[in-house]
Amino acid sequence: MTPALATTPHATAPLVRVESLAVHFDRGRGQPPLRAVDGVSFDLLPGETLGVIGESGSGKSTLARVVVLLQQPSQGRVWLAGQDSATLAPEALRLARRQVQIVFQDPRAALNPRMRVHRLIAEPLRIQRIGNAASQRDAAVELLERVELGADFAERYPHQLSGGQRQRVNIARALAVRPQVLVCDEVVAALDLSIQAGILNLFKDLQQQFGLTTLFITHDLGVTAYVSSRVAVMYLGTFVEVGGRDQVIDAPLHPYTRALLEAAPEPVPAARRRAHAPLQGEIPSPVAPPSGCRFRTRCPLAVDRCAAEVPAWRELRPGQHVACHRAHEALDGAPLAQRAAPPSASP
Amino acid sequence: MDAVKVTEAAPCQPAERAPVLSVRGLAIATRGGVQVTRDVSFDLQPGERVRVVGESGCGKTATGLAVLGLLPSGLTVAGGEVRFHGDNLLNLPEAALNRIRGRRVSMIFQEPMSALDPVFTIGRQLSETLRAHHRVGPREAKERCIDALDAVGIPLPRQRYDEYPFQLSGGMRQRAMIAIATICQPEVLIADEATTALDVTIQAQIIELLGRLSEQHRMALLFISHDLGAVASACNRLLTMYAGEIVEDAPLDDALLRPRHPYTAGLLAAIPRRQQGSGQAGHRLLSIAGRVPRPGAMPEGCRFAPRCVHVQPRCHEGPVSLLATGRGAAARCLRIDQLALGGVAA
Amino acid sequence: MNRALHFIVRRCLQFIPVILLATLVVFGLVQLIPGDPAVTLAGENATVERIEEIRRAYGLDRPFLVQYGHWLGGVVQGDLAQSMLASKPVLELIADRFPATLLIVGAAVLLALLVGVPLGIAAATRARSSFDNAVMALSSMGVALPNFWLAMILVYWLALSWQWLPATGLPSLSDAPGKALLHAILPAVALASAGVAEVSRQVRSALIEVLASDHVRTLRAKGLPRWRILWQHGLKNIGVTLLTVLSLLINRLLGATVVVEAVFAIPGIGSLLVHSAINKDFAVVQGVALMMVLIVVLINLVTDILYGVVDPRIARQA
Repeated sequence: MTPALATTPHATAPLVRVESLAVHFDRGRGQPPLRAVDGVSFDLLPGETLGVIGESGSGKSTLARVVVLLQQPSQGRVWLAGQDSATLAPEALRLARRQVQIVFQDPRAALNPRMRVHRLIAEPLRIQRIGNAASQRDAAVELLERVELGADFAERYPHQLSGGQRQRVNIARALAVRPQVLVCDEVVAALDLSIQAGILNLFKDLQQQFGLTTLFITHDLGVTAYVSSRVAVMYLGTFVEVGGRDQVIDAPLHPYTRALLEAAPEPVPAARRRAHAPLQGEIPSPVAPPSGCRFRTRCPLAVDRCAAEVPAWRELRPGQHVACHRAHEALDGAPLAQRAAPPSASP
Repeated sequence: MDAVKVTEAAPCQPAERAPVLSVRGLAIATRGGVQVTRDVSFDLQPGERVRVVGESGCGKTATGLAVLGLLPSGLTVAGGEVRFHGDNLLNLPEAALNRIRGRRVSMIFQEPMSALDPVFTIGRQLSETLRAHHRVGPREAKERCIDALDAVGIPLPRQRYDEYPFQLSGGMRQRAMIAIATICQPEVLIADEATTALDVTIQAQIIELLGRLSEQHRMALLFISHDLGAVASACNRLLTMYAGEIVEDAPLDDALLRPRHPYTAGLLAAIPRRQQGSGQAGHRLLSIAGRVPRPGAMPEGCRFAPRCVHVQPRCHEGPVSLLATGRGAAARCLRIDQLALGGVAA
Repeated sequence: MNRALHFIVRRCLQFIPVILLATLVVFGLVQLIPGDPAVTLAGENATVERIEEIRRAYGLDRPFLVQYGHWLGGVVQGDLAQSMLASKPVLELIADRFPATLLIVGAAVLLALLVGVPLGIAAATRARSSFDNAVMALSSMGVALPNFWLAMILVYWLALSWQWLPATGLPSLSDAPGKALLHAILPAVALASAGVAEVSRQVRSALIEVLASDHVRTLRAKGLPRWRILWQHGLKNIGVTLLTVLSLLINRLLGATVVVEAVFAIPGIGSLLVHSAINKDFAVVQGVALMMVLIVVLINLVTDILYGVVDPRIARQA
């Protein structure tokens, strides 16, 4: 299924354009491939933060790796600043990598334990042959200041840092080559709550200072709501809903988005607590996604049509796209439970 | 050296019935003598659901393990008692403790894949628990186990009975773990980060299941978690731990709306919320300055004082006890009468 | 069940090319031995014509691959050719002597298991204590001591000086079972010393890891008694390690038996191999080498299949 582009034509050119992206992992010996990403298209506009939210098997991490050119797509194309990544020669590819950088989830695993902090941060500059040793070191120290660590961290080793400090070093390193696009893959998931808050605040500041455009991958709705200007909800390899942050968080149209919002942990006092029946069923395997709409096996609104026909990608509100046969019923914002129809008989 | 003052406010609910679990002054230390937790005191009433929250290193997991005598080899109980219906579990011989474990007090853990034995079937692991504590024949045990698997929401339980852990998904494995832990209908279930490794929608299912089991069997729940946000359901009371101590003990809504300890308030303000205006420019999450003190390098006075925005000179003078804040709640702060801390919006 | 059967069949099929390659190597290596077999056979003062006659008679003049094919054809039919020296079929020679080797190797393996496993378990449950350190030190020594040295020490003290046990020889098991067992003790001990050490080390380290694992913590939380956790869950979890150690041990002992049989004058296939190699009786050398290779390959196959039995993940995730 290849939904049409998730955004309407823009005045400004998108920094990243992904078209009909599919990533299938071969499992060998006549077995069906693992369809990690199965038909995703979107644009990343300058200055925005697109939050991609999803659970396991959604393919969001694979998507992140494709955007930073770490993973080859099986189908579809990725354009970076107007250039099709598939057509780039190795040298041009290396230069293109300056434009997109990534920060990963595990702060410790991402840092070479034998290198001091300033060398770690300056390493991308060395690889991209920017400047000399002295200027690289100065740049590293400056970045340390920007991530609120300070110059005295320059000589330390990763094992001498806390989790939050390591993640700041990772961020500094990612910014060393002054990328235009930053991809963050679950960057706060491994951190304690108060440390997480510090990183998220830092991130917002850096976004402004560096004029970053960001693809922010997370499973945490609260985090997405805090950092994103636009939100894409991913399920089993495809987007099910994309829209502005307020649209998706406050007035979701897709039943999965609504289920995520209801399930998301929130410290809510009893007076405001509403009893929700949690979403039933397990996440299907990406090896054999359900026919038609992938979400139908767990969807409280599923009807026969959902098994037979893949839902079309429709723009139901300006800037908000959904792939659901019954999404229009949610336009007036009534709660999910009211509209429950018996789920489709076939699993 | 430490003035351990256990207040009369430690039991949070007014004690109408005798608590099923009563922890007093529990202190855990490494074998080298470094203190990990101290002065941990709380009561658990029958059927009550208590959540213990704190960030990594606060000692909440060690506390849960200590109740059942499951501390790893590097840690040991340095003092205090854990009374289960009056008996101190810490003094029981191994054989007597084994009659309580899995049968009257159970525990489930974070990673269901590594918590289940990979070379035995689910059914075998379930029935051996049942048969270890009750005289049940193999055939009847199997039937009861299949019923137990069904009761925790595992579809096709008869088929799953003969399957191995690696053949189940994460959510199913955790359900199997819950079945194993509850098959003898214990009075207390300790859940140590039991939903942390699961997806959000599966997490909601498991929390709902635990709440349901707790109500059906009047099973008290001690839910240990670092996720302060996941308290929406299945919880009556909140215990907050910091640097090895309980710093606040309050009914859930009180803790959320009117926290009495600056650390609790700080945690609540650090949670990214999704209400309107959350992401706007100018709104910032509170990031508590500083770092958790290392075990062995604890401050002399209030352990949170170096990071507290409401600190006063007297906070550094000596250790602070849990002080009653009314309605059975308590907080470890000298300024409870002076501070009006903000919580989540009502 | 289907998948398990599939797994077994696949493993069996995988070994056919291995065996073929092994036969080729066995046959080819023997050809590399210096010395002309025809000359050996012909005797000291043979004439050139006599040597040539022998060469033709035994097919030693034909090209390598032809000799190989001829030999392989015979092997498949169970005919391992004739021993040049003993003038008996090779197969008969091997069959005569194999039981002796089987006895001492079997006894050594049994000894290694019966002593090594409990020792490893005891060390693991008392990890880092002085008992544990003693066991580890002893096992290091056991691995380091050469078999033949230990064998000679044992012969000197236990057999010759104190006369507790017989020094040499091995009567047939069918004729005098009691005496045979008695004669097998010293050689089995010499063979087993390294085996006990290896088994106890592997059991200890695997068990320490298992006992510290999350699922053992769950088992304790279930209220299971320690003995049950150790003997039922612990052993099954180290099953793969145990199987590996065992199969490696058997394979190694087949090689070590050559030396031990020499010291104790055991009429087994090890000494047959040595004797034939020295005298350039190639047919026998090939036959014995082939037999040993087949045994090793078979043991590996059985071990592989047993892995699937012991650890369900292996068979079902294949």
